[in-house]
Amino acid sequence: MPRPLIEIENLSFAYETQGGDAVQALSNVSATVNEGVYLAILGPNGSGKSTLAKCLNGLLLPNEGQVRVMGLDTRDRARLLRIRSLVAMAFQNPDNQFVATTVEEEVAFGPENLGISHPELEQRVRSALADTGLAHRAQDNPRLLSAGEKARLAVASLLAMQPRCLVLDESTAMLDPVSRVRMRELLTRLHRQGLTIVLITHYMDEAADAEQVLVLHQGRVALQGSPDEVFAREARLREIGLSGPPARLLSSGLARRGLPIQPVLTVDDLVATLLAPNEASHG
Amino acid sequence: MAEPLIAITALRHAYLPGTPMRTDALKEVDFRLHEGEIVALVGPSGAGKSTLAHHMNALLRPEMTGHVRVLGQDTASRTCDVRLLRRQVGLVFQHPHQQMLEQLVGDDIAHGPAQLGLEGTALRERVREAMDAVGLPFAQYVDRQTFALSGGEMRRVALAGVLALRPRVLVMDEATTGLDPAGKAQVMDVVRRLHAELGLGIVIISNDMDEVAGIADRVTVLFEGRTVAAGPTHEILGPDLALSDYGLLRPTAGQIVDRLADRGLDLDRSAVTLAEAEEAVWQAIRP
Repeated sequence: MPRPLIEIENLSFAYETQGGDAVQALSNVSATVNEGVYLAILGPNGSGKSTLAKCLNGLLLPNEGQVRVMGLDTRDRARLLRIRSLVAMAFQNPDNQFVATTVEEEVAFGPENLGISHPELEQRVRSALADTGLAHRAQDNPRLLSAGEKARLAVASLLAMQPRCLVLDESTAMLDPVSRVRMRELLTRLHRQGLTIVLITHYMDEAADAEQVLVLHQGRVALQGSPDEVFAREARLREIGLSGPPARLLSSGLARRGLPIQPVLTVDDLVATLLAPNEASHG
Repeated sequence: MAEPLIAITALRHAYLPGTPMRTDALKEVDFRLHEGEIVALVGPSGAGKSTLAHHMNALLRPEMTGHVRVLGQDTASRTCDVRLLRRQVGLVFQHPHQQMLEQLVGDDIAHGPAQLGLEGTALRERVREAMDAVGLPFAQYVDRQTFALSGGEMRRVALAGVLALRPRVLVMDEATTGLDPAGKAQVMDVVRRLHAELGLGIVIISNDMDEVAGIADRVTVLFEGRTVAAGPTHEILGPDLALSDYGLLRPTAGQIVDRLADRGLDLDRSAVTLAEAEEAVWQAIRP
């Protein structure tokens, strides 16, 4: 039985505007993030994705409903530190969160504040830098890193806190193509090591890396399921303003032309599917 | 041949020269935008794309070596009419809220032309024209609060604010980054229409190779402050240039045909869009 890590129950959240009006960002959202799962959250701009992310570790608190992290209610102030150490969050612009003058100190900053003692602190920093491919940048100033390295440094700083779950709010949006691929590989690797990943993204191909997809639309859950299930709902996705991963668009285009193939989600699967009959006939 | 709208030759630019913080953003950059063209400027982060964009409307001017000629003016010259140039070359940035000056959509779009002395009905018509161009219905949007707009709407308001100055060239610096697929498609549709109907010259700076493949006539590649490649889209994003040497990748469509070719499928590898890849694959393996 998978164990729930984060339980979201009938969550509603509204922002107050300066004029005193309320803007309803989330309405009656329910979902469960199981331990060890890789979940992608999709949705058009303004659908409530970032608001939902901030509710996952108590940066925002529900107006109605509940969010529980390993059974701890995010509205319980006494548990907030524990909750934030379980669920760590990276944002789109990592520059805003760097505080130290070297990469190494930046990664050490969080655990040091938790009072982690020296041999373990060093071990954590070394392992976080190794995991994110930044070991060779340990002594450099974070501001001198490339955008891709900064995004990975933000992840390294979170890893050093040893959270159970990593929430990434469009951490790949600003990256160049190669850095984006490296970030995707990093997340897949961390997931294989057992970490729970929640990735908010506008890139459909990144959502195909995940095991589960949640689609938000106007603050409500529009679709929820495996990537196969969610991306099969082509008409509904189009209605919401989303599409499918490129490999799926291409495979369904070929299927429409009469090629006997099933839609696939990833480039790897597409290549395998297209070459399968070929190689069978050669072999 | 007519003079290009933008001709940048052997441009060098350093931030904070003469200090220990000196950063050489541009080392040797060549760039051309011809009349009626959509040119994409691509390169990994830190390649100098935004610095180059700032040279295109004289927000930065050559201080070291190199020449920048924009719409017939030399931006390093003391006689360069910078106000005219900034009106003629509109820059749209990635973060539209940094570009929003007023609380209401209509006032925000009117800001630029009002500075030029337009007022009353003429100003109102200019705002209406710009909103039409980006597909924001005037009556519905003119009195909306700018902070309550969606990401896609905000980009279009920012674009309308630039268009209200009736520019001849539009420079879009990561102007669709962070937008959802529908929002990106909307902005790109607007760009195509502006290009087709008003004949604007357009520079698109983007990290999204799929987006670039779908819209650009030519592509210029910047890497570590240098122009390392420039040419027609199919040439630059095609199979022959090692884009990965420059921190870039072919568009997804190109990656797919390359992978199939590497595994022995005999097919046309020139595809840069999904439609082209579909055709190439279909031709190679149709039953």
